[in-house]
Amino acid sequence: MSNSRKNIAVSVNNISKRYYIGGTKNTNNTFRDTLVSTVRGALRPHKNEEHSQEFWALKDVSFDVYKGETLGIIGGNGAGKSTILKILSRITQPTEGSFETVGRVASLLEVGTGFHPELTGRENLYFNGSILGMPRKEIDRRFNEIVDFAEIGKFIDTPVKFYSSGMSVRLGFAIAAHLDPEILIIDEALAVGDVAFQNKCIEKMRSTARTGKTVLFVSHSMYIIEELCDRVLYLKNGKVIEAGDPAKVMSLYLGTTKRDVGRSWKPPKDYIDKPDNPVRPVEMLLQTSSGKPIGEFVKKGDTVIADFQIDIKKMTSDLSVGLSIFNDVGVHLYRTAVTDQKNSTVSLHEGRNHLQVSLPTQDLLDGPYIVSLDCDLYKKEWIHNPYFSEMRTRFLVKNDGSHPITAWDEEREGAYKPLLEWREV
Amino acid sequence: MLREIVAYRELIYYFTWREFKVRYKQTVVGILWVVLQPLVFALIIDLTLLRGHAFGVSKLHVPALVPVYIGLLFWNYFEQTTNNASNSLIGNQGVITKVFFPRFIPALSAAISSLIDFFFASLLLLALLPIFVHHFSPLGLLSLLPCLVLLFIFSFGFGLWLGTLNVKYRDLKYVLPFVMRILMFASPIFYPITFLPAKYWPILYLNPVTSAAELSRHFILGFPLHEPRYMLLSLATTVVALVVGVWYFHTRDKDFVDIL
Repeated sequence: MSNSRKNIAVSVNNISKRYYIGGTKNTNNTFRDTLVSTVRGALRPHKNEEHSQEFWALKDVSFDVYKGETLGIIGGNGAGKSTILKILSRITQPTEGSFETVGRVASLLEVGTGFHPELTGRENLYFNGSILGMPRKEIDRRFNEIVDFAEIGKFIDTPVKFYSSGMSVRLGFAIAAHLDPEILIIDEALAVGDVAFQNKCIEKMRSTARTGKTVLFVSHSMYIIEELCDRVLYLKNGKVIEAGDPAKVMSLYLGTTKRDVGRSWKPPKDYIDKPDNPVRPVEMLLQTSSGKPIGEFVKKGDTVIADFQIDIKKMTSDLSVGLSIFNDVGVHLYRTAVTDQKNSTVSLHEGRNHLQVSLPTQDLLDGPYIVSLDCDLYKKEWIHNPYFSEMRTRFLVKNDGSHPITAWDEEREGAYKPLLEWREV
Repeated sequence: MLREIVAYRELIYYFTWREFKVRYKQTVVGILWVVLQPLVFALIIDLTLLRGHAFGVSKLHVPALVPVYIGLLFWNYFEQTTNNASNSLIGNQGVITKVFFPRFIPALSAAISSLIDFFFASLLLLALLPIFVHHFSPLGLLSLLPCLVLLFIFSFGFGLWLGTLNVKYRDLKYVLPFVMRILMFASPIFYPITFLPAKYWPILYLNPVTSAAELSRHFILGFPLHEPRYMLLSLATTVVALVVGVWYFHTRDKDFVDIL
């Protein structure tokens, strides 16, 4: 017992966190409001605190992280992933419960926190490093290393406002990558920059994890989670659903096998959407090309029409709506978006949007496929991450022998099985 | 709080340094602005409002420019610190919601970075004194220090309290300039305290800026001190501002991130 307790780096005990939707308890954000509601309260008692709604971002969450372990946290919108990281970073306090950390903690919930556009790269490096907990001597010592890693070069003495967004992100990550804490908390900081830099970041993460540091991170990339994590924690609506081996949790999560993913989707009773989410899923239905609901199987080669409805609460020009297709083992086959086509006739608007897209099946292997809602603000943030989107449906492809491709190997490796033309030369 | 100040001294330094850098980065005259602004203001007061009036003490032959400048020196320190500290939580919300550090640090840094401005502005005072004043006490310049300590504590406490209030009551930023304007007229900055009947003096002394200005004018220029016992009022205000500021900050510290 004592020995295993000794190896714990982070211990979370029954943490709950309550927010009030629509601001604070009394929703008085100005003196005026306070005045008005005080007067009103005096005239009409019992009318005040009703319109603020409770929202439990976390409910009774407990888990331990062992020293040297890399723990990934996954979950859908409003699952409480960011809240748990914020609590462990001491940015916000839990409403109930407690936690303990052993060792120096550095948290990285955003790349380039506190960058000031008027200051130069060098000045921002010192400020950012300091706020992330790097002692000045340490920054001095590793200065060149950080600048090299960021590939900023001679621009280090240029004000950050003249940097491209890629440059400031690189500088931000480079600083973070050179932090030397015992416990590192990271939120999504990885999926930044160009592909080459992303790989460099992942490589850095990998080596950090290998040096025996304790790492907790939220990521939307299944690939990175599987690659880096020793253990995965799966949150849903603020509760821990499962914790353990990445492959096991992931497959539970993707729920492709026997779970509740069907041929149509409607919000379940316990469905909770983040209050500020600009896109609310309404319904999805898979149809045949003649408009009927699909049957148990879809004949290989037949088209599946994904018919879905969403409510857009806030329309912005960078809003992208689409679908993602996954196969049985969670491989992301592709994303397709409304805006893919140059002369698309679809124009998204606030309110109900009813959309359809045809999904080809002639190149798919036999087996089940998941169709998942996929919305984001272009290159900024996910609204509905396809991996975690609640709105998902499933269809099963089967080659009944009428398709020109040979049917003999349902279990062939690879995600696609295209029919290609072969010739002898 | 004291322990956190020691533990986070480097961050306090960087916050101060950043605030100072950012303030003068894009201005043409840079740090000169610190000196220019009170000088021009003092000159205008001297030439218009007081029109060469001897600032209540005619036998010393000190042009009003100098005592007004001393008053403004302290007033500007107080006003700048209070304004910046009251904005320190809202203004840094991007950082506060993303990384942990003691949240009073930006307010403290505001009080410290204004010291640098005070320092440069008092350099000009050094230049003004031999030009305009025949008999001044160089040693009296040391009196600037305890006055500044008083204002440092007062402005930090007051600013921290306002800054915490500001998180919840966003219309504070419309109220504050108005309050500051009233406070400025209610302190003997550009008029001698003797302009007002003695019965109002206790009210003036409630503002520590009054004590600071009066003390420095006395020790540097040899102006008479009126009713120095009232200075205890300034001291009391300072203690109350610090205690209330820190206390209120601590009661709200737990949950204001969720409101920001």
